[in-house]
Amino acid sequence: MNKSMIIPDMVQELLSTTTKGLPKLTDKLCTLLSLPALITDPHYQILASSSPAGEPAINSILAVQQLDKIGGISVSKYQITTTDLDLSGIGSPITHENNTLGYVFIFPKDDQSHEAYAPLLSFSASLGAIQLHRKLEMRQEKMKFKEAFLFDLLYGNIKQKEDIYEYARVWDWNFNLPLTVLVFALEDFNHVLTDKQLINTLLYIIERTLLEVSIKPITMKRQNQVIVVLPMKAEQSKKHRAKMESFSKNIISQMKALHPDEIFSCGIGKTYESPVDLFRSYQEAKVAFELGDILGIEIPFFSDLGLERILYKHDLQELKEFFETTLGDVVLYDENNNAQLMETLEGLVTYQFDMTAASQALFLHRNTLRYRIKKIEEILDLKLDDLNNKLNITAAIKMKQLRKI
Amino acid sequence: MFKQLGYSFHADDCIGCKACEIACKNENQTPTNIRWRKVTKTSGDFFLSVSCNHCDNPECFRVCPERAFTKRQDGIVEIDENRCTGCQLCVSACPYSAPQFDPETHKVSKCQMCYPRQDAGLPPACVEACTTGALKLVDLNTFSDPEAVRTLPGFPNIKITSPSIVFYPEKPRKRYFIK
Amino acid sequence: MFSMKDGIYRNTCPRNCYGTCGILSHVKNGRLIKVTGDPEHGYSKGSLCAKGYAFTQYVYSPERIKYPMVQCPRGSGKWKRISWEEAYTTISLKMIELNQRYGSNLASGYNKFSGNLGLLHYATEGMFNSIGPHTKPIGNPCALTGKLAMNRSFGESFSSVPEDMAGSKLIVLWGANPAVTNVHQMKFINEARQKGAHLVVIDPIFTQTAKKADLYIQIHPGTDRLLADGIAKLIIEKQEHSLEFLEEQTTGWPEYKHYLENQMTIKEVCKQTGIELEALIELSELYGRIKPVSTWAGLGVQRNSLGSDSISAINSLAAVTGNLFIPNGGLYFMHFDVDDFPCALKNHKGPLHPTISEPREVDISDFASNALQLTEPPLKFLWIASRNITQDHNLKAWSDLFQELELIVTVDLYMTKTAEKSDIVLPAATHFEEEDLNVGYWHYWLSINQKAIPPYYEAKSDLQIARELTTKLNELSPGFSNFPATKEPIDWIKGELTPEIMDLYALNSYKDLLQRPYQKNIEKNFSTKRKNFHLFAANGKKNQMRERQAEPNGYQLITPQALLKIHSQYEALTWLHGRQDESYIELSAEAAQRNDINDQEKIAVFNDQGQIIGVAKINSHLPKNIILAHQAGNNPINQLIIQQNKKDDVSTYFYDSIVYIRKWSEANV
Repeated sequence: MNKSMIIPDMVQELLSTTTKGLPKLTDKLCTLLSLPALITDPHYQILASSSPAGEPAINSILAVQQLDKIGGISVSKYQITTTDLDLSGIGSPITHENNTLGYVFIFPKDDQSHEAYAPLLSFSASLGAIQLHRKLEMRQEKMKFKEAFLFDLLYGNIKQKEDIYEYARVWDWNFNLPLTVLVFALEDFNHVLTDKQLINTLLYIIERTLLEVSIKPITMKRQNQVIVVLPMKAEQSKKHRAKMESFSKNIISQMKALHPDEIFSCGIGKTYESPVDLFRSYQEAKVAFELGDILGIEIPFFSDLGLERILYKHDLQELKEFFETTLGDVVLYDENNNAQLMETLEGLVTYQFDMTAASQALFLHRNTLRYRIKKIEEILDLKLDDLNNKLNITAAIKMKQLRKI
Repeated sequence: MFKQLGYSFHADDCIGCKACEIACKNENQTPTNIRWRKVTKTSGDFFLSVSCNHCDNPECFRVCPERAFTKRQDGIVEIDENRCTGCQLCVSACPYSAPQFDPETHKVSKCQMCYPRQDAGLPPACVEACTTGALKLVDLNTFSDPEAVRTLPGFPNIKITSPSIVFYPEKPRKRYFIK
Repeated sequence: MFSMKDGIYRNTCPRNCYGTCGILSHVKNGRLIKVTGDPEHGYSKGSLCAKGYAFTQYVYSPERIKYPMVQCPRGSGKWKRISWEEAYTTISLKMIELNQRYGSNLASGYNKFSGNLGLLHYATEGMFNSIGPHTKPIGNPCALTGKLAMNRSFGESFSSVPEDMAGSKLIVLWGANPAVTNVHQMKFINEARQKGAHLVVIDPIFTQTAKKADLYIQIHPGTDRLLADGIAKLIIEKQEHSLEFLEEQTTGWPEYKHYLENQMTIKEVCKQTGIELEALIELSELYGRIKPVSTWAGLGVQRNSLGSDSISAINSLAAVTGNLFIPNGGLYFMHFDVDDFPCALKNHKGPLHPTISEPREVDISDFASNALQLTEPPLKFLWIASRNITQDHNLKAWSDLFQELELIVTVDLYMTKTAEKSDIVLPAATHFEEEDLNVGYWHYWLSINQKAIPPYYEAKSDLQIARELTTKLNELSPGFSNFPATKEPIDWIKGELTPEIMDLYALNSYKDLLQRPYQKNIEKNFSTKRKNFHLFAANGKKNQMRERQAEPNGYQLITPQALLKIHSQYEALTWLHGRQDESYIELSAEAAQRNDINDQEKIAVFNDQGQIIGVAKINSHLPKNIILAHQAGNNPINQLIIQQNKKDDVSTYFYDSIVYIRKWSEANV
C-alpha cells in the first residue's frame, strides 16, 4: 500500500503541451519518440506536422487508407500517401462525445513496434481532443457573436454609428466604405435537411468567390437566404454596379451548375454611406428579390424598380382600369384573332423598344415585328414612337406582369 | 439562437369570438380607436384575426425616416414611440394595417407581441385568450408542418413583406338547408 | 376611503351566462389595471371572453352612475345628485307611509332578475323578506319550460359535465349556439373534433356554430320534437336502440315504442321539419352507430309553445341510443344546483303579519300585466335591481304600470332605459367592488368573488344597500325590518358553505376558495343504477306548427343573443361596440324581394305591439318565414313580443311572435 503511484515522465511531458496548441503536441511527440507525428482535421487536412531533424516534413496528404485495428482500442494501422511517398504508420481518431474532430498519426520505423506505441497514441488523441474541442467552441462562440451583430445591423437595432464601427473591428471589417446588401435565396425553401444543406453550399460558394477576388466575406445565413454585405472601395465606385451584377450572375450560375433542379435568385439593395442605414439596403434587397421574381429579372436592383414598386402597391381596381384603357383593345384583338400581339408588346417593352434586340428575343423577322407594331398602332390608334405612348404601354405591361391583370 | 416568432392561425377553430382582440386592449390598455389586433370576417365566411405579423421583411421598418423600428433577435418588430414623429409612412406601407396612428398623441403604435409577457415566460395576451386554441405562437425558424399554408383568401398579399404567420384552412363541411 | 392592497384577486364573472368564469384581477394603487382568466378554473381554464376582457372599461366607464340621483319629474331627464342618506330617507318614508296607508307592505314590491347571479345578490330578496309580506316576482322567463321538461324526463334537473364533452365521439347541438353564447364550450367541442368526433348542429338559423359543424341540418322552428321522434323511429327500425337500458332503466318504453311505430310517419317528419330524407337518414345513422354521443338541448328549442315536448323528445332520443348515463355521453341543458345552497338571503324569514301569511307573488314572465291586475292594495312602490325591463316583453303593460306607481327605484351601473323612467337611481357596484360567492348553471364549479378594488365613486353592492336601507327603516319606524344588518358579507359567504356543501365540493374552509375554484362531486350522473328515466310519447298531439304560418304576410321573429352583449349589458363599452350601429334586422332574400326591400335599407318591423326600425341585411341562409333581430337596449326588440293566454309554469315563448315588415319611410312615422 505504500507504493507511490507512478506517472510516466512521457505523460507529464505531453500534458505540458495542452494549452499550447497542436504544433507543440506534435513537436513533443516527435521529440519523445524520434518519429514523424501528424495531426489532421476530420477531412485529413493537416493541422500540425513535426518530423525529426533531417527527415522530410510531411506537408500534404493525397490519400489515407485505414488498415487493421490494433488491440481493443481505437488505434489502427494506416497507409498514407503524400505527394512524394507512401508512408505506413499508426493513427487514432480524435473524438469528443462521439464526434470525430480529427486524427493523430505517427510513423514507426518498423511494423513490429506498432502495438507498443498504441497506448501512447491513444493518450495523445485524448490530449488533441481537448485542444480541438476548445477551438471548435471558440469558433462557434465567435460565430454566434458575429451573427448576432449582423442581425442587429441588418435590422437597424444598433442606432449609433460608433457602436457599429467598434463591433466591425472585431472581424477587421471596414465599415467606413459605402456598403450594399445583396440577398441570395433558394425558392420554395422548406425546413428540411437537404434544403438547409443547399443554403450551406450557397454560403460556401459565395464566401469562396469573394475570397477569390480578395474581399473579406461579410455574410449571414438566414432561413432560405444568404445575405452579403459588400463594401465598395473608393476606386471602384464607377464599376461597382457592374461588378455586383457579374458577381451575382456568377454565384447563381455556379449554384445552377451544382443543383440544376433548384431555383436560386437574388436581389440587390441601394448603396449607403453609413452603416446605420444598412438595414434599408437589406430590406430593399429583399423587395428587389421579390419583384425580380415576379417580373423575371435575373439580377434585380432595388434602385431600378421605382415604378414597379409604386405599381405593385397601387390600388388594383385603378390599375385594372388603366390597363383596360391602354391595352384592352389589343387583348381583345388577340382573343378574337388568336394572335399574340400582347406577347410582342411585352418583348418590345423588355428590350426597351429596341427592334433588333426584341426581334431576336422573340424569334421574329424584323419585318414581321414591324408589321405587328403597325397592327398594334392601328388597333390602339396611336403611334409607338411617341414617348408618352411608350411610357403608358410600358406601365400597362408592368402592371400586367406585377399584378397578373 | 435566433427565432422568428410568429402566429399560427387555425381558420377551422376560430369562432370569431373576439376575445383575442379585447384581451389585447385589456393587456395594453390601448385607447378605443387603436386596435393592435382585429378580428374580421372574410367573404369566404370564416374569420381572420390579424395583428402586426412581425414580418421577415417589414416594410414599416424600411420606410421609416426616423429609424424608429427595430427587429429583436426573436423576430419581434418593435416601434420606439420616442423616435416616432407621426409621419404615418409606415401606416401606408403596411399591408396589414398593423401600425395604428393615434391622432391624440400624434404617434404610431402597434402590436409588440407582448414581449414583456414573453420575456417573463408567458404567451402573448391574445394567444392566452384564445379559448379554442385557434391562435398560437410558433417559431417559424423551426416550424414545419406540411398542412400549414402561407396565406388564406382574404388575407392581404404576403409578397415582399413575408409575414410571420402561417395558416390552417377550413375543412369542407356538409350542410342541409331547407329548400 | 380605504385602499385595497396591490396584487391579484380572485373574482368570478356573475353574468347570466354559461361560463361563470374565474377571473384574476390585477390591482395597482386601488385600481383594476387588467383582468386575466383564472387558470385554476377547470371550465374557463385561464381565458375569458371578449366581454370579460373589457372589464377594465366596464368598471371605469365615464357612463357609469356615480351618485344616487333623483329625477323630477319622472322621465324628464332632470336628474339631481342626492346623498345616500337622502335617498334612504325618501325611500323609507314612502315604504312606511304605504304600510300605514294599506296596513301591510304588499304595495311595495321588487322586480329583480339575472343582472348579477352571485349568491349575495339575493340581498334584494332578503331585504324585502325582512319587511314581511310584500309583492315579489316568481318564475324564470328564460328556462322554466325546459327545466320542467327535464324534471318530467329525469325526475330532477339534469345536465352532464361540460368538460366531458371533449371525450365524445358525436356531439349533437339542438338549437344551441355556443360559438356565440358559450365560447368556452367550443374548446371542448374542438378537442373532441380533433380526436375525430363529429359535430352536428340542428338549428333554423345558420349560426356561427352551425358554420363550424361537420354536419348542419336546418329545421323549421318548433319542429324539433318531430325530428327527434323521427330519428328514434329509424334507429328502432334498424334495431340499433339500446334495448337493455330501455327495459331496465326507463318507464314508458312500450307506449313510446308503440307511438313511434304506429302513430307517426317519416314522411310527416320530413314535411313538417323541412328536412330532406337523406339528412334524416344520415343523422339517424350517426346517432345509432356512434357512442358516446353528447346531446345538447339548447334554450332556443324551448322558446316556443312546442318547446316542452321538443325537449322531452330530445331527451328520449338520447335514452333510446343508450347514451344518457355513460361517460362522455349524456344530455346537456343547464342545472339548478344553486338550490343545493341555503341561499340564506333569498330564504330569509321576515316578521309575521297578523293577517297576511305569504308574500304576494307575480309571475315574472309577464310581470307588468299581472302587477296591473293587483288590487287591495295595488302595487305602488317598485324596486328594480339586476334588471333592465326593456329586455322583457309586453312593454305596453310596463308603460301602464309605471303610470300607477308612486315611487320607482332602480339600482344599476348604467343609465338604462329602465333607470331613465325611474324616480331614483342608485349606483350599483361591479363584482370587483364587492364580495360574493358564485355557482354556475352549466359547469359545476364553485368560486369566490373577492373585493378587489374600492367602489367607483359612491357605488354600493346590493347587500350593502339592503343593510343600510333596513337600518334607516328601523330608525324611522322601529321594528319595520328584521334584516341582520350587522352581518358582514364574509359572514353570509361562510353561512352558504354549510358542512353539506363543503362535503359536496370537498372544501375544508371558505379560505380554500381563495386558492382556487372547487368542482362539485357529480358522479351520480354516470350511475348505471339510475332508474326511471321517463320516455315521452307525444300521443295524440297534432302537429300545430304549420298552423301558425296561416298568417299570410307574417314572419316568425327570432331574437338570439349577440356575441358582445348579454341582453343590454355591455352596450356602453366602446371597446366592444363601435360607432357603427349594429342593429341589423336579417331577412331572407325571398322576404326582401316580396316586400321590395334592398340590402342595407332602413326597414320597420312591426305588429300590434309596436314597431322597431333597423337596417335590413339579407341573409341567404335564413328560412323565408323568419325574421332575425338581435337584442339591444336602445331599440328593444322585445316590445314586439306578446304572449297570450299564458299558463303559469312556462317561460316566455319569445320565439312565437309574428311580425310584419315594410320599407321604412318618414311618412309612416
